[in-house]
Amino acid sequence: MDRRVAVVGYAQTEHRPRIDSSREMMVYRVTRELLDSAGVTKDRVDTVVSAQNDFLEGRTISNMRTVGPLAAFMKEETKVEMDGAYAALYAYARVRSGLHDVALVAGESMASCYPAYLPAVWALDPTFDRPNGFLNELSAGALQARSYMERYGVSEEQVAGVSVKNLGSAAGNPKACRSIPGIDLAAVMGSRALYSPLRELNCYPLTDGACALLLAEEKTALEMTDRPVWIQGVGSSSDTYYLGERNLSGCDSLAAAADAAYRMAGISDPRAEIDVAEVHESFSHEELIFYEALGLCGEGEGAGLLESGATSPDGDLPVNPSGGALGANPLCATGLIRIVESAMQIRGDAGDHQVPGEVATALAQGQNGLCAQQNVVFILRGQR
Amino acid sequence: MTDLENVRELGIDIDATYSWSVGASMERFVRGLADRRLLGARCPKCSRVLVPPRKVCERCFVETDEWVEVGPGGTVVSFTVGEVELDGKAGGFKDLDVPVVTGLIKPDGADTAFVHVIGEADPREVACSMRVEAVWADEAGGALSDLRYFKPL
Ligand SMILES: [Zn+2]
Repeated sequence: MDRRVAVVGYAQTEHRPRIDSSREMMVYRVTRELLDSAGVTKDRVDTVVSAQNDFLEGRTISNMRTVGPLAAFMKEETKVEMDGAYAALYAYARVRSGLHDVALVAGESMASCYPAYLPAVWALDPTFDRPNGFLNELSAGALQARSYMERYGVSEEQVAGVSVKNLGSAAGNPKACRSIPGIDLAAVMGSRALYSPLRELNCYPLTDGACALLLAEEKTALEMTDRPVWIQGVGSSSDTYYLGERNLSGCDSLAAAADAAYRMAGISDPRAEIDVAEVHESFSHEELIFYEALGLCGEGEGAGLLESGATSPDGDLPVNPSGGALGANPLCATGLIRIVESAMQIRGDAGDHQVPGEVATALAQGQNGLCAQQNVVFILRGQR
Repeated sequence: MTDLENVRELGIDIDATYSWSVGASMERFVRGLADRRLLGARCPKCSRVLVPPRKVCERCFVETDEWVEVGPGGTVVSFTVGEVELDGKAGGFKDLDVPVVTGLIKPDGADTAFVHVIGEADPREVACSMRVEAVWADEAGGALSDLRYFKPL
């Protein structure tokens, strides 16, 4: 089996604190834009995989009402209650296997609709963590931050450097929900204290938004576009739920996912071979942890890599030139946005946040669960 | 139904009661709290002591078969000082008048940590590797709340 699969189109809504639209119209518009910009009619789509979450939507089997808006009428259709990168992974598998030739992937949510931060509380172990009431996604992220900073002697200012880079980069991305042109360290360090060491600008913004992606097998892809972006490697791995059993100063499941994706793509030196990376950092410290788990630097060297400027938009390995999840985080779409942003960089379609120089190989990460419990890595390539 | 006239958004309450099976391990753990004992489960294969106890070791994929008393002393693995708390059913945050310290605490004799509150502590003094001890409710009722918090030693 050697069926190559390519990204042949993508679309994003603007990501905003509040999109003035029904959910169905938000999904319809992003799907419509995807098909129109790819020059593909809905009849060419064989299967649809979406990422939505019943708790976020306030109704069970939430995809029952998005069959229409997703152009899935009378098609093979399903959803995952996880990050959109998982929807892309399963759509990829469907196309790669030969079951289908063309797959449409979408992820969406509206933070303006659900009670903020409660979804993660309702994900907690109902026999201990939830009734105790001490844990939520921000306090969990804070425990992760402290573990990492303590182990490697990283300061709050060093971690804040990620927010400075990403929120500054978001200024070049018109889709971003939160951008702060000219942001400095003092702005991050002076933002509202939530759970130490996390402050407001260390944490993702509540976001409404949707993202969509079109995948096709090789022959169909070449009919549809002269600029296919090939999926060269994928990997995924899940760690235990229990925070107290995990290595919170690293991200073992991301390291495992990256290993698998690198092996499949034939990458032996990710630092040298990857031209741009889009990672799913819900919090600023996670980006440093992810540098290390992805093998872009050694253990405990994340802050050094950031400070070297290598991961800045004009560095030799830009990470999150879009502003990342700190710039926009519509749950269930964020990892899919990473894939789309990576494909945009390869195609040279990223406009004001296009990185200088040719982007041949890009990495995209999606994650799920408290403290990045579950991870997906995609390796994308532009040339044949 | 008249509510739908000239309306852009509806507030929708979802109020539902679920019945969760606690499971034999957690049931025994909570009963142990009434006797001021912290109980963990040991994996027969990797020998790790898991607290709160789990019936299956994920790493070995075998059932745990031995009860081990751990604590009441423990070590802070990580911590956070919460200046806010969740604003109940509404979601979002509200400011706290008095910050609450939450920690990942590894009881002595256990191979895992769990999240609990660190009380009787100046938030500025709390640190990783700090030694703490369980503080129990005066009158145990056989509930999770019998373990009130951990205090610095
Ligand atoms: Zn074991």
